[in-house]
Amino acid sequence: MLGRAAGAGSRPHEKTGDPLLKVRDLSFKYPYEPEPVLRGVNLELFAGELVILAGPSGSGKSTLCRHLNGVVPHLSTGEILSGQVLVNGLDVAQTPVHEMATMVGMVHQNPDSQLVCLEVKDELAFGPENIGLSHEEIVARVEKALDWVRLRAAADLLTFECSGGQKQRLAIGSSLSLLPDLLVMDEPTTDLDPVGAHEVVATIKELRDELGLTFLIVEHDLDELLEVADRLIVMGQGKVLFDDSPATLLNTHYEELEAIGLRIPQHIVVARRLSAETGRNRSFSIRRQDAVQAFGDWAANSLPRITPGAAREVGPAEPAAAPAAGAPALRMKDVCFSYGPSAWTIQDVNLTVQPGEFVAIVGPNGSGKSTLAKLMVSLLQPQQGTVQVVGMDTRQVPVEEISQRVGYLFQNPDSQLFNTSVAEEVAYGMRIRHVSSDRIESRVAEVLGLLGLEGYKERHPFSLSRGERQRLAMATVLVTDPDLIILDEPTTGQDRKTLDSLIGLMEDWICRKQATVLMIAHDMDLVCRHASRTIVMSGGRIVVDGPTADIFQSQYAALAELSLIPPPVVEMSVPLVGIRLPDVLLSIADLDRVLSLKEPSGGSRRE
Amino acid sequence: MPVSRKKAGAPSQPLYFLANVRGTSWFHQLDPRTKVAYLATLVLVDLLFLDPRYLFAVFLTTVPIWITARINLRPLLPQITAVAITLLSLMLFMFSFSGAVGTSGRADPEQESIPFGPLVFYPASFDIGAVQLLRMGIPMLTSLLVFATMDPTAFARALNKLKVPHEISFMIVTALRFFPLVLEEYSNVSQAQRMRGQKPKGPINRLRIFYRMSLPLLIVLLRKSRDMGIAVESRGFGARRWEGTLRILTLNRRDYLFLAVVAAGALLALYVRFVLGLGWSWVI
Repeated sequence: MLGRAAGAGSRPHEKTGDPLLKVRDLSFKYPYEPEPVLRGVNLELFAGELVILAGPSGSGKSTLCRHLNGVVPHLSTGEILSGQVLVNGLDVAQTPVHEMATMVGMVHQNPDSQLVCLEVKDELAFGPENIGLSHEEIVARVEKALDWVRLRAAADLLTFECSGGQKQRLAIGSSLSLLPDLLVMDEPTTDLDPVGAHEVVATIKELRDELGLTFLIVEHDLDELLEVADRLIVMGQGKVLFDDSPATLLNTHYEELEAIGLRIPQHIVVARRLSAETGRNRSFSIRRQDAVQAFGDWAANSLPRITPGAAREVGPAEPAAAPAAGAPALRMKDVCFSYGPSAWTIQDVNLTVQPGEFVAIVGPNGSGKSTLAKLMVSLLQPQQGTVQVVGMDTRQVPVEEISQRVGYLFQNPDSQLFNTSVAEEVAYGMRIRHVSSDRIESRVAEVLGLLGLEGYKERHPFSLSRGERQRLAMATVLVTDPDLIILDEPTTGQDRKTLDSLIGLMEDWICRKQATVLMIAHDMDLVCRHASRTIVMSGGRIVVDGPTADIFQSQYAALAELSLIPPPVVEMSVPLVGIRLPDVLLSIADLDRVLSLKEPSGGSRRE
Repeated sequence: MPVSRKKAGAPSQPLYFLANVRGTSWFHQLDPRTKVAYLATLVLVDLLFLDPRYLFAVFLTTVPIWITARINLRPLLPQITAVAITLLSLMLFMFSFSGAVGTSGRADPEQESIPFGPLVFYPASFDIGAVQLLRMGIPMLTSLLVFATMDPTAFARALNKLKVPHEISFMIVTALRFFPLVLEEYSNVSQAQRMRGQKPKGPINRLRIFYRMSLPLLIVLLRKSRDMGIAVESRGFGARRWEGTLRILTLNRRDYLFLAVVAAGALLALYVRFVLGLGWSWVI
């Protein structure tokens, strides 16, 4: 009945026989773009392979994926300039999408946008029902899919009740119930919290090992996937630039990959640094555990033991010392909030943030981070307790007034753009506050320059790229010169370069204005590199609050329990604190300092 | 401050919206076709009467169902409020309507009237208002009851069984599935606009804000619907073969019993209306 047998896969995957997927000289152009988005792409995938497709934004990865199951050209406008895509020998352009569905499964970035039914089992049955299977076959496939994606315990839930990770596994399962030969996944972990992302990656690994399924995965975050992938294909400007095993590629083309903006996992950066440091000029392993081990060995051989008195004592996490005297930027006292009658979303929150702090708020999805941020600016009102933001009581001052001194960058920049030109968009916040035209003009020019958007003044906001729209949304926030800026998941949909420039801007803002920045984030690397203080939320409560370094050192286990996995340098350095290192390392810059000095420095750790 | 009345971890807004779908009452367990048949019968019975007393009696027959279905009314309050506002507006409009219009087409200057500011109410029209209120209110509230207690997918299957084309039933399912997402996006865009300094004060300003919101909202929703469309096609929707289904709908004893009660009620209404000739004339 079911064609896919458990344990069908075996590693390593040999490229034998005919390829499952063959892309031959594919060039494609969207009607509204002057240049082709794909230029002569050649690619082959063999049964059982797990291949990662990486590359900077706009390199054509998603467009290529849409060709693989026929969404392009059947459901999308555009012109195939040359070439073809063959799956199991069938020309995709000549095969209807519903026929391709039984050969190529497709999983997209946002699970909410691809789930159709209300109940988990119905979602899994959706595909088999569409292709006209019998009741018995549908039931069998649903049961199998539940096991394959480990959703047995969630089988009777509504899809709305599922966590982010469960939803994405459900999306995978609903493709698998059609028993495809190839599963194409377009950034399947981007919209998930660390817990959900880890669940999805674990599911991918299991499916590959147990079912021998073939995967093509577009992904920016390569931390977990890279070491189990058979191949890494890197695209740039519509072409395949590199195609080889990840270990070979990273050992031979590291600089080029870094130069095109590939987000190289931190443990690989460490492995390469250590390899260079030992001077043996040998290839380095891309496995995280190997890097951790290598660092431990290097530290044991190269770093002197710290005398007991020299080690910085790290006690339980405490709130960070106020970086600036005077009135706090934010004070929340005994705050409780609930959307419905049955449960608190935010419970007993007490929080004081001083001007000049860069605070990260982390925690699993549903822990109340965004709700807390909305309470801070009066978009929501607490049922109990008080909130004072930049000296204003949110119960007495309306949002519009608070927004003059508090900026809020929403997760999706499109939510906050509505004018017809970039210049108008930035000017709007000042115009409605009746600022003089001269002042508006100079300030708009200043802010656009700050964000590198000075050449886009007359463009329509929605004609900009996602990264540019994010910067424009930031410009609309900065133009009013806020004292407090709240960033809600600034990492979503951003490549590393855009993100780094955005956060760099925030750090400058803090220095220049003694402003305060609160950032909701899932990216622990980002938190470690930039936040002076970290707040961990779980179940609507603040469970940990303190200086970032102390939290990642002393609350390591608590973070792991919440699946907030610290970056590799933290994992590597925590066991050595007090023995070889005075402090936990938070970033590659910290590591470089240790490597160059070959002895721990006790002072400031970060650049 | 000690907090004990609620546990942490509230449901999301879409989940709250669907809070009644998972009930275990006898009404929840009815086959969706039974519920659709009940709703259709009630609408027809509703049309049999013009006398508000008879219509009120029809309304009273729905009350035991609301009670025994153990509906949690709080999640339905926004919808109930919307229905109530619509009905009350309609009723007020009808009250200010001349009772004579129905027969002569002109207001009778002699009839009793009650001035209320710029409005004039006619007691003779009160019954017309009450009839319209009940005629529209009964099916609207009962629809709320039926849809609040039914999984949209099950509803689509019921429609398929009733020979409604799959494309249409699927459209209804996706619309219902999409509705909470629309609410969520509306809330996101609205909050983002307020953080840009927009004040939702006064009707003109509210209209202006709504106009400004429409572009981002439209773009976000178009993107979501495009993604959902691609996801649906990628899972073989275009094959349009639909033969077997995961769940097989079956009418059980409870359904037959309820349908018998509904049929008896409908027969009684027909008897009262056509044999006894009651319930068609206005009270006045």
